[in-house]
Amino acid sequence: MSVEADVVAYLAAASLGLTSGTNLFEGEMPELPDTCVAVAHYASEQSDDYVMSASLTAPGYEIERFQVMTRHATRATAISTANSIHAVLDNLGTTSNFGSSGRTYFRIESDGPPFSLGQDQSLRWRRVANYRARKARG
Amino acid sequence: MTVRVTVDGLDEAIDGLDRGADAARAAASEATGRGASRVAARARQVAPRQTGKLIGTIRAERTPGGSYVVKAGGPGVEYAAIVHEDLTAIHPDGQAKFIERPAIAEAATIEGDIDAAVTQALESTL
Repeated sequence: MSVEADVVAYLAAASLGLTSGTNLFEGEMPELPDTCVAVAHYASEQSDDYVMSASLTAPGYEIERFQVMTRHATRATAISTANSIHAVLDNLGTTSNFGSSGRTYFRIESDGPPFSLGQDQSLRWRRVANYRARKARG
Repeated sequence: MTVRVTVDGLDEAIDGLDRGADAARAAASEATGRGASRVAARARQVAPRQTGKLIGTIRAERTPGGSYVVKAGGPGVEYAAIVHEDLTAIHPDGQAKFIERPAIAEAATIEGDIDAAVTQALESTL
């Protein structure tokens, strides 16, 4: 599965009131529903084990970057939802079978707390946070 | 019993190390600057160019601490961060993450350049 699918599955099981396919989506955010969360993979990085020896870093992992976008008609709810997701994902340590993917995620770190993208053309509030995941290959 | 050891040239060696450290620091900063300029150039190639204003604000800047940042936006282009982060927007001639993606792509090259520049600076001064 993709990193998007893994993160969506993990968030759906995190008691955040999010359900995959209903208000939680893989990829770029759909136009509807108004209230939803989307997880989009947008970049990959060279793994350290391509340039460092096995004595310095465990081989067999890859690095992916993804963005979580939260949207809601109410600004306060957009903020609280984004912050709840951030609390679950940021600084996550080694987690085996992450999102029932069968893979180990060694680390997820954010670039910073969620921040506002303002309102879209339908006046819905949007917040985003970017994350870097170090996970087992495959 | 007392053994007296005399080391000749110690002052010169310390001076050499100081010069080497200064040269290495300067070389690393210059290599970082070249890398930041390459990131900025690639960012200008992939940034959305609806009016051209956004592209005109993409630049590499040296910080007081000697590192570099690549920035976009400024007066009249306050929307730069939104364009950068909004993955849902459709751009006919560019893309979101127009700085971050080039930075990731250049990272390994920049690391290599810094390594080579520092090594050369140390070899030429020590």
